[in-house]
Amino acid sequence: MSANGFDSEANRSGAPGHEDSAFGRLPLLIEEREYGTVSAHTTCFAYSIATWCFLTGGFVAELVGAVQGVVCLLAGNMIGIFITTMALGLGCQRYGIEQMDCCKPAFGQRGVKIPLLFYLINMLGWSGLLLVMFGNGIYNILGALGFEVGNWVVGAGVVLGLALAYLVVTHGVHWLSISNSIITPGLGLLVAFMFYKLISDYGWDAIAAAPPIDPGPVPITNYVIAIELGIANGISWWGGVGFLARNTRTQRNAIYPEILQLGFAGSVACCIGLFSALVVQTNDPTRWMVPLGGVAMGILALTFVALANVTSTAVSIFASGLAMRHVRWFRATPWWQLMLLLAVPCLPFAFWPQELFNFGDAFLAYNGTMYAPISGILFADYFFLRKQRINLRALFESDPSGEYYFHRGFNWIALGSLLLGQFLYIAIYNPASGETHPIAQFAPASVVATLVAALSYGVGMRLFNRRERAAAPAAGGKPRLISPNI
Amino acid sequence: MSDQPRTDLPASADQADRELLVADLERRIEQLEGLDDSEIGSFTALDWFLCITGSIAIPAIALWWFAG
Repeated sequence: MSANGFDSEANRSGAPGHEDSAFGRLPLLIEEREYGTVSAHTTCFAYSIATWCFLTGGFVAELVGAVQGVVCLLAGNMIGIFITTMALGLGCQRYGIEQMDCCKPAFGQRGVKIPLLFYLINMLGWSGLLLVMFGNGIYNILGALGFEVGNWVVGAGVVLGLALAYLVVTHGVHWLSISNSIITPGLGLLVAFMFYKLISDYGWDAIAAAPPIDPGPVPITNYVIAIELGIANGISWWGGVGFLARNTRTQRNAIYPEILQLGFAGSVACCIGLFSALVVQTNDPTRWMVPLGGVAMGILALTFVALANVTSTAVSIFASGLAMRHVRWFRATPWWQLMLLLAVPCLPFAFWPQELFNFGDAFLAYNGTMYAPISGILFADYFFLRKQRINLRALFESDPSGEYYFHRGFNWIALGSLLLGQFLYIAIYNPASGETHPIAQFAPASVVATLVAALSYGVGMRLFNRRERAAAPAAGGKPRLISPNI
Repeated sequence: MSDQPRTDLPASADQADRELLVADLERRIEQLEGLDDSEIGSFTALDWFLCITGSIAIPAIALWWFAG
């Protein structure tokens, strides 16, 4: 299995039906799942070390110093991962299902398009930021080599990176696997190298004493926002949790690797980004490498980071393409057309790279706005309402008589709770304006949004959703699918 | 997909593929719904305790401690 899960033995075997299960929506049987304990941990570890860790560390460095930053990243990420992982991880593992399907018992057959939309925003937003990082990388490599070039190079770099990512995703899973097998260990080495250089050249005292890059006037507000960014960083793994858990054979392997690797190891990589940003006093990771490693090593590292960004972008676009298959219109669309379609929303980053990059911290926090209420709703639904038992057949039933069809395919209680959670989140912390409500000092916005959405959904479902639906019986007495949505 | 019995002869290769896919899905649903809890491993009260302590309680205390 590759670092990003796209190179399964099942797929390589070419056995009929395997691609539909591993890459499509068919529930995975236990014997088809690839991850034991070791492989689940190594895959999650490989997932966790990516270039967006540098971005997150850089965003936190704008607000707080090293000590508070480490606490916000480590603690926030662990909380965020817990919120995201428990219901999705255990649900997807038990039934071998893809995470959008796991959302259907709460959101309904059509209502699930809302989390799907958020998922696409998340994936394509990160892709855009990584592409700007790629463009900045080219700009800084040229600068380090003594060429004076205009800022247009960054935009051109975005287009080039997008074209390269498109080439990778349209040439199939193998290209992704090959690039990942080189990039992932290389990134691990780079993080270790950066940590070594930071400690040997600057020392902990200098790192700890470095001021935040661009803090607001009130220290506690900076700290509160940094906590929010840490939690949002954990929550933004929402898009990958189900895929990983679905491929594990035991419940523990669905949870512990995600918490320990995505949560803990990922935060450590973010902390290296935090220290680098504080020492060099910029949140742009492509401007850290030359000061930290010297010109030759810096250019080498920059080239590597630039390539890693292309791979990460390719993974995001690839995953978005798989998710788009949930929409009936795109089920038969040729893969190259789908990839082209998904590349279009990234194009604004070519025209306004720096302007959009500056919204990066707000975008990171928006992940909390989007996913914290969803995670709360799924938690209440899976553990409290359904007692960890889903009607698997009903997930694939589009007929209005299906249990998860609700009203015209939407569960309005879930959608209302989602809106309420998002409203509360923005009332407590508005990522666009950076304003916080005093309550944020006692309870982070994402935690409040999670809890209130869960409570509202749980109570609403108990009070207003009493309609039980039975599966359609077949002639032989066994229930059967009337209108399968596979 | 209509509500017709799937024993009808397929009209095209695509429809035949789809019939196979749905049959495969039905087979998987039966197998997975029949799984015993022991076959997917347990997630016990101790696991919940460890996860809540490590992912919520300790991080919350750390965040509070370093707030000043």
